[in-house]
Amino acid sequence: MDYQQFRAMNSDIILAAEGSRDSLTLGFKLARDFINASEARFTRFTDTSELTRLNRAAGAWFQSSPELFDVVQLACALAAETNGLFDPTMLAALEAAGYDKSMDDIRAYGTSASSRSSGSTRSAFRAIQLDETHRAIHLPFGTRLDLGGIAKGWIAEQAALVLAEYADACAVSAGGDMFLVGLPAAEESWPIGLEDPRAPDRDLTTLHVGPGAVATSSIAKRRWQQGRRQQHHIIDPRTGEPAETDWLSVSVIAPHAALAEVYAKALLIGGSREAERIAAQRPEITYAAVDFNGQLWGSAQTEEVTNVIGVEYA
Amino acid sequence: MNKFQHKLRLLIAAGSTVGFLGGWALLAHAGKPVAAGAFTAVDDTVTTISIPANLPSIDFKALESANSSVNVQTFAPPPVTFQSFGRARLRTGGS
Repeated sequence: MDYQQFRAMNSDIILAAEGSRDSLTLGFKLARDFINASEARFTRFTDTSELTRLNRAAGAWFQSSPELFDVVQLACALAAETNGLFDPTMLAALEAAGYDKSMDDIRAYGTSASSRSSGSTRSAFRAIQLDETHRAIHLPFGTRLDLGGIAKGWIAEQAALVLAEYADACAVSAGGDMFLVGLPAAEESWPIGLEDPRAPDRDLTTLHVGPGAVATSSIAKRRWQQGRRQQHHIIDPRTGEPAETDWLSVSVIAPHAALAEVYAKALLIGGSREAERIAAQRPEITYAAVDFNGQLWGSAQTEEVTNVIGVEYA
Repeated sequence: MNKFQHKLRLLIAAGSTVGFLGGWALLAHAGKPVAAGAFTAVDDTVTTISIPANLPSIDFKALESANSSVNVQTFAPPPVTFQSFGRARLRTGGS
């Protein structure tokens, strides 16, 4: 297995692949170029990204690239499916909570925003219009999108598919949200360490995952101080505030990265009380949640996660 | 008076001499100190500690009923296994 590591999307990126060295060198380069180009397209932290231009165009139709259209379409569909527990229109709420610049900058300089009301409207995503024929997006006036997690998952999956053209088996991990293609030689699964959210240097267990996606949402990371309040980046769309949940993190194994990202976030926000109902929407996903005591939780079939889980890759 | 003083001096001198010689003899027959590290083990015997009886098993049913209001189940994961490949390990935990 060959590796390449670098930093993008405010995350540690790991490319892992098996195959001939010459072929992998080109595959790594193309996957890395794709990730860097996609970050420039989807980031909300620059004035020139396509996402920022879309947000500025709210109230009018915006002609988008195929990539942005794909992700916005996915985000709207999954927001409806989770009945708004995942909502891509929470950018104003995130900024009001203090997440108004990249996490690398917040860690270095702190947040500049003071706590204020976001003015977010619940379920604003339902008013977004998509014109597939002309590949155009219409955001309601005043609505802005944050595609953070779902875009990161989508980028990891697309980059893995690029790399897979040059590899026998490969994985692309973007800060622990990953997409796996094929299986390592002589292995029946990919071993993925499940990080302990209370002690990130330690793993709670090893997940044995087949081809497909793994994503984790956590309230233990991306935290900052806003006045006297500890804030985190998982906004509960029902309140417009950082979610109050009895779980620290939720990891989801799913056939596709966007699905894993969205359900990890929805399950984390819903917590133990709503987990069964949320997970029932998608029988093909498996989740493992970690509570404040480091205890693992999951649905009836989740115990298999720590043995062997095979996900059909479509 | 001078005769009494003379006798007293002789008595003190004799007592001192006897005391000094007695102390010398006592120390000469006492055990000598040993330099650090010069000890030698008497034998290799190791004291065995008795092993306590088996710990009582956890009553999972009782734990389950304590959490009956929650619709999800908890489970104990097996220990972390080592990666089968060399360098960066794939891990998930949010970012």
